[in-house]
Amino acid sequence: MIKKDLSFLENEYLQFLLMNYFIGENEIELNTEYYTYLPKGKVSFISPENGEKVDIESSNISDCAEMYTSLKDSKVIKQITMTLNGKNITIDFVLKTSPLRITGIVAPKSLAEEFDDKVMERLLYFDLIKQFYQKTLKSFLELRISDDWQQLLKNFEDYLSKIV
Amino acid sequence: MGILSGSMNLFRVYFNDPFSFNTLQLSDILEQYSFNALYSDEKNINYGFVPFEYPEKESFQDSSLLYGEHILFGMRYDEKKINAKYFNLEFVALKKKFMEENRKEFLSKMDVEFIKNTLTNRLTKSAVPNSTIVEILLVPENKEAFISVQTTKIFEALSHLFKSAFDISIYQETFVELAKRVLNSPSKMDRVLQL
Repeated sequence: MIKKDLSFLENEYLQFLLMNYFIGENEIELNTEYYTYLPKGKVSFISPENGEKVDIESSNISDCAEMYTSLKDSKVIKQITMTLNGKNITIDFVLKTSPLRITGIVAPKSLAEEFDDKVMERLLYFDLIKQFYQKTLKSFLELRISDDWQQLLKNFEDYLSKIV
Repeated sequence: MGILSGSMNLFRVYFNDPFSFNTLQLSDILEQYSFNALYSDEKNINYGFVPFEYPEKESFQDSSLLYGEHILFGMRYDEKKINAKYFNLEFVALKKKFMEENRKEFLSKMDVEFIKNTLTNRLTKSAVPNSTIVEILLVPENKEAFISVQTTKIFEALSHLFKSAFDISIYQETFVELAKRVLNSPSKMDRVLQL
């Protein structure tokens, strides 16, 4: 059993998703269809120095100055509510840390009449979010161990400095 | 909370042992370790497997288990709690009655233990339990399961049931385990561990 504590990567993964949204790299292919992911409603930050918590709730996250300030102040993301948008479907979900997990998957209610069909439809939504989670986490980890990670941070810092 | 709820919350657990049962075997095992089969009126805590459609279908024989690559069933967990204040009031009354009936002026340590056990058994039998239904989504191919409730008590009960019924040990996933599975590359994982 591996004991090393890599929990800081949980926060960085959420930061990665948020950065991808801001720099327009938030498209993902799942089951041969394209989806976009974006923050929705609430992002929770915590300061690594003093444990101060900041919850930012806004109907338009991309216009929220308080969030840019939190990101610029190097606060880490503890929790984020996201939306996965496809051609015919929208699914909301919450990504939490300590431990990293997906909760509160709000998928469309099944209109199927048969019980088994209802279950199958809901399982397909669940699998979609599971795929999103695994695919984006893999991309993040591969980027994190490459030199491109520092470049992404630098690009994002430049992006923030132009806004705030 | 579960698969059919407006908001789904499913927590991943994983296992390393092989899981190779056909539907008939699976249904028999789940029946053998079902809530009804393991239930005892004397116990404070009762738990066992139930069909996913529970309580509409109580038997696994006529319940759907397979949904594509997923196996879906549930666990019922009942816990009886005795109100501490009520227990103390009854305890005092019972001690008094015991002393009168046995013409004793003092109670020995053994008498007190006897009265306590008698009262606990009596109150446990009549106590109404708090019931929790946990949905279990098993994906044998990935050696993973998703559960709709993740508390220490539920995890312990589930671990016990999985070990007894299927001879598999389940674990909660750490970030390192998660990264290892997602990357599926020892060399990349080594680099993650250097971070």
